[in-house]
Amino acid sequence: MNKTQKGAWSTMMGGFLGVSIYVGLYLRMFVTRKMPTTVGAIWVIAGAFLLTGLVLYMNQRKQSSAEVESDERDKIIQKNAVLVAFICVWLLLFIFSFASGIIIGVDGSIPVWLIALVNVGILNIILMIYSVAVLVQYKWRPGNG
Amino acid sequence: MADKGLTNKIRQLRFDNHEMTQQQLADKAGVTRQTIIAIEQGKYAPSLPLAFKIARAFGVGIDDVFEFDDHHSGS
Repeated sequence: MNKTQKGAWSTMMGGFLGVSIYVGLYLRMFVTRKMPTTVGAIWVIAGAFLLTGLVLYMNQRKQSSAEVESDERDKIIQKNAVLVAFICVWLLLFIFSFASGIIIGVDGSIPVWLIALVNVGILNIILMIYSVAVLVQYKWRPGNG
Repeated sequence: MADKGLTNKIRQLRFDNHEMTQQQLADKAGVTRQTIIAIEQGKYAPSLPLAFKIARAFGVGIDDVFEFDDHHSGS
């Protein structure tokens, strides 16, 4: 597995973890109506640090000592993935605007802090879309390409 | 990224050159092993500079590694 693939896998895992924490927090705060505890937050932060360390270690490992960081094919793959992610940003923003108009109503309003959460959520989803777009172009398999 | 008209003899040349591994060829050409695999399988058409680097890694001309057939070209 080359560095671009590893990066895409770790971004996707990180994005998945981010979405999981995001959904978990949402469920805890708005469905079960409980505030997150300090101990819980420490566990989540410790887990995130552990995962980051593992990803950094994996990314340091090379296929050979002379392995390049990325080559011309990686750059084409990354460029295509950025294009896919860019299109998805607009699609998601359009869907969010359209859906919020239907759900809340055209004259409805939402708290300002919710916009920040939506932006972070979209950023997370975009990173995952970018990673999937990279991995699809590598046909998902680590050894092949 | 692939071109149907472009074929190559990389696999054969690797074996003719002391069974050179894909990783060794990748290191000589300055690309990743995955790119060599993709080129070898005809899934990726390399740029001209990369094609030259691969040919030079085998010590042959570019025509000895790559062949282009107009009739089967995707472009």
